[in-house]
Amino acid sequence: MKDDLRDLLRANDPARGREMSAVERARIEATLSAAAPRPSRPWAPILAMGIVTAALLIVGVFSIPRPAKVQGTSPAPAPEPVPAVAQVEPARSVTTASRPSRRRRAQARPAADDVTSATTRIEFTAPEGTRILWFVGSPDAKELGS
Amino acid sequence: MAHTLIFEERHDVTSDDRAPAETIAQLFDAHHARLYRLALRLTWGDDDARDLVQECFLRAIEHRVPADPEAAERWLTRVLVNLCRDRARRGVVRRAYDMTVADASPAPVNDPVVSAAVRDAVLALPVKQRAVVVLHEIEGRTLQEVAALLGIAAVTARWHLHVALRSLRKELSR
Repeated sequence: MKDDLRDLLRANDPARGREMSAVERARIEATLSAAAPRPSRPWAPILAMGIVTAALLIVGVFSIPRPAKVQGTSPAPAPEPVPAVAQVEPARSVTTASRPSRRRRAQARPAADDVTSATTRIEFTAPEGTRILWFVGSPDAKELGS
Repeated sequence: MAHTLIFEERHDVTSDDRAPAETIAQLFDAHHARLYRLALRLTWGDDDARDLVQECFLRAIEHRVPADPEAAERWLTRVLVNLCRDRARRGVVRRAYDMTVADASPAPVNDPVVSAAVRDAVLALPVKQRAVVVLHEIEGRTLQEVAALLGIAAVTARWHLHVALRSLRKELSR
């Protein structure tokens, strides 16, 4: 009786000779592929940033100009041996130079007019000798030399 | 006016808990044919079988499937049977409130020898009993294998088989 029922069930098996069609299989696979997460690599951008930073550092180090080496320089002389007894030097007196006053600094400063004023040179020749008159920035003649 | 607060327990699945695409592809290649046949035998409907298989692997994406092949087979079979049971419950409710809804599990049209009596008798069984009958009587698995696949005790599987065969004989003897 049980075997008869089993035979009946197997004879009416709805899945006998049935396979999922390739189209349906591809559709389900596409659905699953869209729903499944892709493996994420969070270390990838960090690694890329580290590589770029290292490259920039290397380029920066090699782009700095180095001072030219002096050829044929003798090595530095060896330091003299330190005497056994330390010599005590007398303390130096500290002298401080006071800053000159504003008035003195004004006097020491050359006048701007003297520098920029026009100078006229007039030379007179006479039997007793030659006289030169200099006009320096003022209408009054000033005898500077002869 | 009384207010009712409904707390819904949700299990949010993070991206780290989800199975990667390569694992799902391997699982699909290894198990989709067997699951499709099992779904066909449980539902007697091609569309329902395809939907069940797809839903089963979508569940596999959201949860961690065991890496062991046999454990993965058990996990997928159990999920498929539970999905079929949920679908049957929704179908029962739908038929109870909407009698115009067509039968969700039509017989495959390309099988000329299918008996409507056998189909109706099998579909009248509860899903758990149906699964035991299909796995034991049609697929030829032992009751221990059936119990392991469904996650029940062997005694329970034997009891389900006994009750299911008695119901089938009663329905087919009419």
